[in-house]
Amino acid sequence: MWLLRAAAKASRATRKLTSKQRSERLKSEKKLRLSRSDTKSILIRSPEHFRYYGGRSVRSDFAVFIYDINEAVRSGKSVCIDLSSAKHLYPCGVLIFMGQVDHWLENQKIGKISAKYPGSDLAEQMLQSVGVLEKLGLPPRKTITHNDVTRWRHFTGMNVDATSMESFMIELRELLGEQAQMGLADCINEAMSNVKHHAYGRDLGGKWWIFATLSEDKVFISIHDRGQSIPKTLLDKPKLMDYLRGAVWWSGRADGKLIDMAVNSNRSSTDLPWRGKGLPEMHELTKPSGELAIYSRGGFFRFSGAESVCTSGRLSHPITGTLIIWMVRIKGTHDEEDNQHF
Amino acid sequence: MKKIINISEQFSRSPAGRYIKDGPYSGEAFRSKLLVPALNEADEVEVQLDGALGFGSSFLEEAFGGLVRVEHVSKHTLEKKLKISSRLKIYEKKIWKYISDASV
Repeated sequence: MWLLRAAAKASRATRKLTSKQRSERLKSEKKLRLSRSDTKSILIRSPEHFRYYGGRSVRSDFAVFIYDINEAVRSGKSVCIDLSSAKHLYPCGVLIFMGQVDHWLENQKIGKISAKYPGSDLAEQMLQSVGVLEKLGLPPRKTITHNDVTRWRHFTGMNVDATSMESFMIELRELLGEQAQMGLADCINEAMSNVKHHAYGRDLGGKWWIFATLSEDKVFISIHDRGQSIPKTLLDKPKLMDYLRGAVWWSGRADGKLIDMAVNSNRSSTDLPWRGKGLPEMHELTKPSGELAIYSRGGFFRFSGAESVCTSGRLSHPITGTLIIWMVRIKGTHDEEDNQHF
Repeated sequence: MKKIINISEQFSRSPAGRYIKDGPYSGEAFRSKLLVPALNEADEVEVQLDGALGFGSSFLEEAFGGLVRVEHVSKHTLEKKLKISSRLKIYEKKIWKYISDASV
């Protein structure tokens, strides 16, 4: 694990070197991260933290881990993913890992993907419960009992179909009241619609993954797809300002602004006035005390209702598709007449 | 003659999505299979929203805005024949806004 942290820190230091020095430095860092038994197979160690939303260093370690596996799969190597170090699994990281595992299994050319069990009981229970370990060839061996696992619900699909979430929605309604639960459900339905219509291009559709949980005073929902990304789909129909801003040529900072635009206006890839309401409604529901974070391609958008602050910008590690992380604070009373958070 | 449509009982407790190709309980499916036939048969149609676990703007806009946009029913006709019944009045407001916007 210390090798991964060292690699991440070293990567930042390489920016001060010449390009030749940088290339040689990165090659040697990569050798430190990866163990080779032979040229056709590779063992890749996971980081301790499976997390995308949070500190830059944990995101960097996780992004490097995903990158290394992608490279190995792309080159046709047999990959063994050593999960023994995985300890702190967050919904955002688990969602991305779930999406990546499906992608690797669909795209492996020569050889195969395998894995070693996590060393942490909690990590093994979590990855077993979402089906990832079985996909990687590791039979289930735990009884799922840990509260940090059982309180999380996970859903996946390729259509706009909320029927699998009915029991969760009923539980939400009992806790939040009808109005708040309906508002959340509306936004989740719109998120699925967005994936179906926009994420994978030309209404082809594709997979989405959702994690959700309730605590005494908060609802957490994370949604992920591996589609084209919000900036890419918006730029399918670029406007004049996109050219003036240079956004039509890939730019992380511009991606952040495009996500901001998708959230704060009805702009959508269809350019139709009756479309594009999903992200604005999600944003609205987050006020006044919730939080919303959207990561897509090279940009991010974050909103804190408690601080009434929006920020957007460039990601140090671009993401495939889109990841939405959403926290809504539960109000004290049910069925309030005030509808302003719709 | 009055016809009542309860979405959660006669269509789905979890309607979602815009088009039939999106999923099993879309706005387009609701409109074409239940809403339009009811409007054609009855003088008054009451759509009851209570009991459903969520809708989404895509579902509601396609189901009701689509009456004007796709089925070419006039807003005037809908104001005479269509009634929306819901404990949460915000849904009634949203639906009539979708109908108004589609009429422009």
